[in-house]
Amino acid sequence: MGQQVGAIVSKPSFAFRRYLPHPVRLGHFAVILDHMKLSTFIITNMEQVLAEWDRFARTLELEGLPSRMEVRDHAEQILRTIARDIDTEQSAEQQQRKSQGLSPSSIVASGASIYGTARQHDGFTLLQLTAEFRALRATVQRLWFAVGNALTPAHSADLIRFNEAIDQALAESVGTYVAQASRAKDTFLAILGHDLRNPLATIALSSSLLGQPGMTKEGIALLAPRIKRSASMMNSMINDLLEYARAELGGEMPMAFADSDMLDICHAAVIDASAVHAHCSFVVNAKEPVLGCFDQIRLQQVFTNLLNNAAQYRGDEMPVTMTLSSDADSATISIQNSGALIPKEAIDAIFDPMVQLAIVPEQRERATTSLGLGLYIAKKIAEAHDGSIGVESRDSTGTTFTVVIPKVRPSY
Amino acid sequence: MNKSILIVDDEPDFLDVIEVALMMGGYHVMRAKDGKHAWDILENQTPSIILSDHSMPRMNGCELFDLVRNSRQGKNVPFLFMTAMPERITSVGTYSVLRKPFQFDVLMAKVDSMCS
Repeated sequence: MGQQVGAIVSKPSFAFRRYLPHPVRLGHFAVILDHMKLSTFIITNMEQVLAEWDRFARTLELEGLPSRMEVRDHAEQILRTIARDIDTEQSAEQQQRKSQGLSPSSIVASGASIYGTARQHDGFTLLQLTAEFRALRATVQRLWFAVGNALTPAHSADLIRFNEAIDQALAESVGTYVAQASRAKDTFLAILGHDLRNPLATIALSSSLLGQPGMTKEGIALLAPRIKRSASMMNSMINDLLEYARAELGGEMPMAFADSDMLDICHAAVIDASAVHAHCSFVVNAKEPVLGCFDQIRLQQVFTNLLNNAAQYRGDEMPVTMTLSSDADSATISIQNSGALIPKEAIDAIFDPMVQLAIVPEQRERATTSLGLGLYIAKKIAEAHDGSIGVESRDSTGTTFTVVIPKVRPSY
Repeated sequence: MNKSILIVDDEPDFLDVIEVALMMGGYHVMRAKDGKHAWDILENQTPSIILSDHSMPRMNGCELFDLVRNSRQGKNVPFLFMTAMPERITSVGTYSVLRKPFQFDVLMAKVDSMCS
């Protein structure tokens, strides 16, 4: 191998000098690299590889995803897994079988499977997932070649192992991702059917009762509002579904901004929620009007939805509190109940129904409007105001949804 | 004396309506808002038949069914699942299923036959 040193020496570019392992000096560069396996190169230069990959990944329209640090952590895990795989002994026969997809590495399989699950939970699209792997492969190879690695037999063997591992990791991740997404869609459809049939059951049974001999005026008075409420609930679910479908198909949510008072919007939402939850006490903490340019109907929809959720999941007899405050730039509306806490894994995905359904599809015993579409739409409406929505769930304070809406109309 | 029916559902409007339906059919009705509530009632009373939703908070219909079937007082009580998602029923044992939505006539035919 020593004789090949002269052959692989090439002047490293100035830009890449910062990627060299600390003890390496340019004078010894080729000699050390001659003995450095690709796995060692990856581990030794992890930070630099990730930094380069991060810059590259930012060009792939990976905007609006979880924090870059989180993404980097996952990429690092994958690289370390691949480096371990490269170092694992492999016979010629094993390599042959592996290249045909017959004997995948169990190390890579489990790591990538976790990665695919995490990405689906993070809300990545399949395109974004594959783009990440593309970026990872390109980055490592670019840096590996940039230090002057010609294809010696040892290096090309490493490169083959690396590509095999990346391909396998990608295939495993995509497989897991697709399985998760498919399961979430199945669950979505099942729950949609369930949630629509429940109020429909009330309507069907009530209407068939109305035609029974012996039906009294008192009976009619009991059935009529229940039919009305159930129809209203179904209508609301269908509207949510249409909004969701429109957003998922890339359509813009129609907005109608006008000068209005956030206090009026809050009161209107409380009236709506009180009609549905007649036995729930709604407490409004608001001192004065908060004027701004808002879409009154849309925000009322957001607050009604949050109030309904808070009432539905509150502890017995506990009130739901709505608080309105403001500063010079924005209005802040918080809705709080003291029901059972929302688990951490559900909090992380609470505004994305597909992700939410993929996390705990079987354990969830859901009540009426339970697809989570309302929260998804609430987030879209807040964002259409250039605002935000968040949630906290703590033992001491219960669960609080907070909506922040700028007072001025968005400039888009 | 009228036969008694325990109805279990977390949807209060549906519970009200089915109560009216069963009372019109001549039954005495006990109500529970979920499986846990139903199990509390069953500690002191034994209905002629149990009608239960499946998906409910705290304790679902299958969990209730399993408890009832393993109890001394409830092991022979006819059990009817009323659910929009029968495919979610995983319990093993003897029970009937009525898929939501259903009409009054269908409900009464089922309940009458189970009680007789």
